[in-house]
Amino acid sequence: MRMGKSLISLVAAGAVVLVSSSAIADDEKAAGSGPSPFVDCGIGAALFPNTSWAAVTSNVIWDIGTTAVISATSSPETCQGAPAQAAYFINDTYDNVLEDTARGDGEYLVALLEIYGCSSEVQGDVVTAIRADIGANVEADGYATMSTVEKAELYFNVINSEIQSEFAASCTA
Amino acid sequence: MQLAAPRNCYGYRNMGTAALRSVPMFCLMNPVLFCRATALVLALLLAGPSLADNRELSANETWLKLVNYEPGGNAPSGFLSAAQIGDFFLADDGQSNPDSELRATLAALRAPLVGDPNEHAQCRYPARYIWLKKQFALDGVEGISCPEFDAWIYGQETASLSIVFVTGYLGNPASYYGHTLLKFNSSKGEQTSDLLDVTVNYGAIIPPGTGPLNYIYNGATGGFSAGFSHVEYYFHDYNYGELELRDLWEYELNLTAEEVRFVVAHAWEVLGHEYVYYFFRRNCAYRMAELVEIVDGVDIIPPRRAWTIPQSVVTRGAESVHHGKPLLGNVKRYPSRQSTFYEKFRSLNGVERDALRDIARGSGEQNDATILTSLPVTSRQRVIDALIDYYQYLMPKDEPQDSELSRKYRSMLTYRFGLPPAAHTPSSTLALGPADDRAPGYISLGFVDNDSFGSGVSIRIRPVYYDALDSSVSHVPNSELSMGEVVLESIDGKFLVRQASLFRVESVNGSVSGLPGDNGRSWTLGIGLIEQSPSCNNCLVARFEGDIGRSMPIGGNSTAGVYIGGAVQDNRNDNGNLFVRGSAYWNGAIGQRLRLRARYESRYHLDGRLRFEDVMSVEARVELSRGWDTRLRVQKNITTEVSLSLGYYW
Repeated sequence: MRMGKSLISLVAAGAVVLVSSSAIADDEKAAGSGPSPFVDCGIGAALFPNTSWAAVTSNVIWDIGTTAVISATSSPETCQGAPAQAAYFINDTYDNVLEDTARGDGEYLVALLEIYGCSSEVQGDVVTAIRADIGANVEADGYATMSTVEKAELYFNVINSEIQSEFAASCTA
Repeated sequence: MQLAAPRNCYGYRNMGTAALRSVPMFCLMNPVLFCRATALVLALLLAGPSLADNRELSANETWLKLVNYEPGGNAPSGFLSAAQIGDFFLADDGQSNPDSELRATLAALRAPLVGDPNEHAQCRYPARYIWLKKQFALDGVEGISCPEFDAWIYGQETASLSIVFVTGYLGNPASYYGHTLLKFNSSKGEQTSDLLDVTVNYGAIIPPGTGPLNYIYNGATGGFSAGFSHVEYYFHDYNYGELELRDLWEYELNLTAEEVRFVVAHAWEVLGHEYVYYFFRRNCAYRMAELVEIVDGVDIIPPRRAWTIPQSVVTRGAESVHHGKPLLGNVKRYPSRQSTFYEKFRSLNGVERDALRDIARGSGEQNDATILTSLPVTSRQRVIDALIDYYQYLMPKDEPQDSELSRKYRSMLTYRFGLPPAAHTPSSTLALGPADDRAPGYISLGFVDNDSFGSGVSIRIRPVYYDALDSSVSHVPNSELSMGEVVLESIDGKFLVRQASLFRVESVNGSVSGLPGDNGRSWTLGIGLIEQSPSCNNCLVARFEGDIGRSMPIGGNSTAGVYIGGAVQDNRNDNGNLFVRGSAYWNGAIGQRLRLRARYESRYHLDGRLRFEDVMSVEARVELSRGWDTRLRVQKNITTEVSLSLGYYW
C-alpha cells in the first residue's frame, strides 16, 4: 500500500514520458554534454499538466516528488545526481528559470545553480556565461514552435555543458 | 490478544532469544540455578516494561497521537485510528486497540535485523522508536541504520520546520479557505534557496472525472480517500503562485532540534498511508497541524469547532508560546504572479508607467523599441520586468505558442536578455500577515430601528469568513465569502428571521493596473433564505442569485464596480419567481480602521405583482481591535432600516 500507489503512478508516468520524449533525438544534444536526462530519464511530461478543475484546485498531490520520478524511471548513472535533478527542475519550472536568466538573477535561477552546487561566488559568472547563449536560443526562429520540454532541454544543454566544461571545480554537486 | 504476523523474517517471537543472548558471560561460570535466575530476570528486564507499564504507555497522549487514535467508534478501547487498515498497523487490531498496537510495536522494534533494514520497524516507525526509547521502553535495544529514511530530503539535516499558509482562492469551493502545509527547512550550508526544501502535504485523492456535486458531497461526508505526500517546495510555489495566483506565507516554528527530528520522523511514518478526507474538520489544515502537535506542548488546532479553517491554525500558532518563546518565528512571503506584477507596477514612476501602458496596449514592435530606448537602462529593465510578469499573469498555461500574448511575452524576454543583468529584488514584506488576522467567526449584537416596525435588537452570526468590509491579507480584497450566516431581529415583540444563507461569494478583481486583460472581472453567487425587504414580516424566500461585472480602483483607497445579474426565488407574497438586476457598489477606506461600502441595486421582476424594485444600502465599519468592530448600516427597500452593532470575532 505504502509504495504501491507511487509505483503504479510512476510506472504510468514513466511510460507516458518515455513515449513523449522519443521525439527528442540524441543528435540534438549539445556536443560534449554527455548523457542527457531528457533522453535517458524520460523527461517529457509536464509536472503541471492540464487537469480537471477539481484535481487542479483541491490540493491533491500524491507522490509526485521528482526524486521519486528519477528513481523510478531511469538508470542510476544518468538519472541521479545534480544534472538529472537540474533537468527535472528546469522542465518543471521553465518559465521562471528562463525569466530569472533574462533578468540575471532570481530565486529559481539561484535554486538551479545550487542544485549544481555552485557557490555564491561563482553563480554570477555562470549566469554571465550562459546568458548570451540562452538569449540567442529564445530569439532563434524555431523557438516559438518548440514544446516546453524541447525548450527546457535546450536550456539544460547550455547550462550543463557550461558548468561541466568551465565551472566543474566550483560547482561541486 | 493477537499480534500481527512477523514481517520479513523478524518478529516478536525472536525477542526472547535476543534477550537471552544478552546475558553476560560471567553467568557461564556461576552455579546453574543462579545463572538461570539471573538470565530470567535480565530477559524480563530487556523484554521491556511490564503489562501495567504498557497499558500506561498505550494510554499516553503522545502514543495516541503517533498512531492517529481519535476518540470514537465502537471499539472497546474507545479509540479508532484515523489511518485506514493497512500496513500502518503492526497489530491485527491495531486500528482500534492502542495497547495491542503498542505491544506489537515494541516487539517489532526489538526484533533483530534480518533482510532489508528499510523494512525494519525502527526504519518504518522512527518516531515511535524515538518516543518509546525516551520512555525507557526499549532499553538495551540497539538502533539500526535506515538508508531510505536517512536519505529522505536528500540526506540533509532538517534545521527547522515551517507552516506554509496559502491564501484562499475563490475559483474553487475547496480552496476558498486557503491551505496549509509543512515545510522542512534543510540546514543548507551555503545553499540559500527555499525552493528545494521538501514539504509534506495532506490532501484528498479525487478520482478523475469527479463532477462538482459529487465533489462537494463526498468532500463533506468523507467519501474521498486522502493521504500525506511529499514534494519539493517549488512545486507549491509554482502551483499556487503561478496557476492559482495565490500568495504563500511561511512561518518558521520555534522548535528545538530534538523536536524537529521527532516531527520529521513522524511525517515519515504517515507518508503514503491512507486516510479519509473530511472537508470541514479533519481536512488539510487539521492533519498538517496534527503532525506538529506530536510535540509536547504544541496545541494549534482550534478546539470545539465543527470545521478547521487553515488561517485559524496559523493565528492560533501565533498566539502560542513554546519554551517561553512565540511558537511562530521568522515570516516570509512568496507573492503570486499577480501580486508580483502589481508590486512592480506600483513601484514604477509616471514615465515608466506610461511606457508600460503604451506597450501593453499594443503600440507595435517598432514603437515598443522606440519607447524602450527612450528610457534609461534602469527604467527599461523595470518596465520590461513588469511587462514579463503582466503577460505571464494574463496567459493561461496552455496559451498557444503563436498567440499575440505569447509573441509579446517572448519579445520582452528577448529585450531583457539584451540588457545588463540586475540584482533580484526580494518581494516586499507586509507589516501584517495571516497570523495577525482576526478569527474567522463573527457575531454581532445591535440596535435596530425600522420605519415599519419600530425599534429592537438584532443578532448576526457568521461562522465563516469575511466580507468586503473586514477582508484582510488572508482574504481576497473587496470580496466576500460567508457561509451559514444568520440575521435575527426582535422588534416590538416580533421575532424576525431576516436572513439564513447557505453561502454567499463575491469575487472582485481590483484591476490594479487598468491594463488590457487586467479587467477587474467580478462575480457573485449566493443561495439561502432572505427577506424580501425590511418592510415585511414573515417574508423569507429561498433565493439563488448571481451577478457578473467589472470592478476598478478609484484613487488609492477605494474600488468601485458594476454588475448585471438576477435571481430565482420562490414566489411568496406574489413577488414572482424571477428578477434581473443591475447594481453598482463602492468600497472605500479612510485610514487603517474605517471602511465604507455603498451599494445600489435596481431590480426588474419578470413575473409577480412587482415590476421595479430599488435597494440601497450604506455600511460603515470601524475596527476597534483585532477581535472587535462596530458597524453602522442603513438599508432602504420600500422602508428604511438603520442598525448599529458591536461585533466580536471568534
